[in-house]
Amino acid sequence: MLDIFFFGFLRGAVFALAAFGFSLVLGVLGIVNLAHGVFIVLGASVTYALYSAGTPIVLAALAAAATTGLLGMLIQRLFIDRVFNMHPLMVLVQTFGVAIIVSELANKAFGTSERLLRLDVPGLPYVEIGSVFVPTYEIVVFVVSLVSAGLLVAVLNYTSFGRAVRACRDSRQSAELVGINVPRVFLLTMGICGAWAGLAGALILGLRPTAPHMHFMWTIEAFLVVIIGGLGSMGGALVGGFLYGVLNFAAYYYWPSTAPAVIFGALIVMLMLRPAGLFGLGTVVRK
Amino acid sequence: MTVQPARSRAMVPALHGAAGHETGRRIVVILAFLAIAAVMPFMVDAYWQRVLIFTFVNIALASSWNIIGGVAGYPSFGHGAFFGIGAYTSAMLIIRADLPFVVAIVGGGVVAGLFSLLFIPLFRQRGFYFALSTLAAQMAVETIVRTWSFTRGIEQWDMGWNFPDLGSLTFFYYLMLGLLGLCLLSVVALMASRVGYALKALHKDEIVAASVGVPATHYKSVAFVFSAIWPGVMGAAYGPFLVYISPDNVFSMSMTLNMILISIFGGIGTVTGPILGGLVLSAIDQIAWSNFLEYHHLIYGIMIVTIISFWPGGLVSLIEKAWSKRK
Repeated sequence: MLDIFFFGFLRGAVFALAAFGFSLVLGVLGIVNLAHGVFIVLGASVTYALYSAGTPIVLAALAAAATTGLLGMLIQRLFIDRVFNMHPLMVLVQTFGVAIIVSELANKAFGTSERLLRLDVPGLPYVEIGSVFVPTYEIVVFVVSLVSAGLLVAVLNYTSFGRAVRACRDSRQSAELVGINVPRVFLLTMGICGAWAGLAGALILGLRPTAPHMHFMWTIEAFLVVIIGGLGSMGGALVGGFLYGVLNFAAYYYWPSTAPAVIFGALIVMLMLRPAGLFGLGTVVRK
Repeated sequence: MTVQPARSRAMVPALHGAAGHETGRRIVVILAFLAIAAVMPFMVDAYWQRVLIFTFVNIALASSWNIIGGVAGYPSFGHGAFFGIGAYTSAMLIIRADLPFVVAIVGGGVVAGLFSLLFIPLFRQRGFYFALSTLAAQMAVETIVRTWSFTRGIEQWDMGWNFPDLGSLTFFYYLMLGLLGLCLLSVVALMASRVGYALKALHKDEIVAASVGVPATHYKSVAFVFSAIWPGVMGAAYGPFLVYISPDNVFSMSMTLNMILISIFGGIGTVTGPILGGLVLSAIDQIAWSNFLEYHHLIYGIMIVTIISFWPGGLVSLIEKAWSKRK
């Protein structure tokens, strides 16, 4: 029981990292991006390919994040930009189509098999915390997730770009009126979303088997994290990540075969009862 | 929220007068389509008959999705669940209970319709939230069907159902065509009824519609149950045609996506759109299957993105534009 809670909590940080971009895009562009999971699985695939080719793991992860960041900007410029003002249905189907294209191309480029890296911190593979043995790598992932999340929050709160992003999130029209280049903010937002999700994918590679065809499960999980915590606020996503981490771990531990049904059921209940998040931290998208 | 009878009755004849023409034209188009389809088996081989059966199923599914997703404007991403439920109901009625095929087809529709009542609380949401909730609901249903031993198969280790031989290819061809005809005519009837007008009003502006006395939840529920019954019926008829069904082929996400894509491609919210979209998309799909099997998924994805990015109005809007230019 204690270790479920503990590991769930540790994994929660990486779930939060995977969901930050989703929350940001939902807040700023006002869309649900069904291609979000693609960034995560692609981040993992690129990291695996580079690492097997001999690149140090840190460099490989950063390169993967850069790749998915560029991909995010590309998707925004080529596709989402055309339809994000239309009926939500259009964006959903379109981004799902993008997800199919990218994951199929990734299948062709990286293969369809599931990848998992056994990563140990040299000299100290395990740490004993209380009565629980924890692989040091999990703690590294936890710390990296928190630090990169903190970095994103700092960028949003203290730079002029971050102010522009928040202005677009609060009111697109007012942001345009005061001279903010809204299309550019949207482009960079998708870039950030892609980069952070790609980094999350790189970290997940050491925790769970990952393959390009799993993109949709990750989209759903990111959405769930965002919904639990509340839309639009980074703090909400972090809380959501921790709660979802524990829920996910418990669901797979107690009901391994029906865990997806439990998770999807939780999503429906959350959407119906508390669409603004468990603590009402966020706003509700009315579209 | 109740309707003021006197007032709304006064409104209806005016609407009927303007739209009666429209309904007649739709029925003519559908009957012409059915007549052409009915003589096709004499002209094409077994392979193309199978392709046409798939096309009929796709058109029927898209037409029923279009009622809730296109006309009412509630994009359900969980409609594949009703198709799967229909197919599984049919499997259990025919194989487990040994009942005739007709009972199974009706049963598939009834069970899917009853099941759709469970989705009604989801109408408290709209847009993205509604889409994602229905998607999650479909995936939850799929997981349950996949793991529950009662639905998984007849034996402990089964992962699907094997149907006995219920008829020839020609039998299935005319069965599917007949069901498609009933489905399309019922769609036309629904659109010409109060429900159709109410749904259009709700799509335009739900708050205004509700404030002039259109009971929103009631009509949305009617539309949703209607659009769930036909996929159930089609699933129940389609299962025995496929011979083997499992969650992978009847509950797959691509079933739902096909309904949406065909509606959008043909013209979302129109009656003829799904017919046109179903015919053209099935043709493209068939070419992709037979020539580029390895890239089939990729082509499918590219098609989705191209259609949405460049022709969000669909084929019907293109044709209408060309028509009005000529005039």
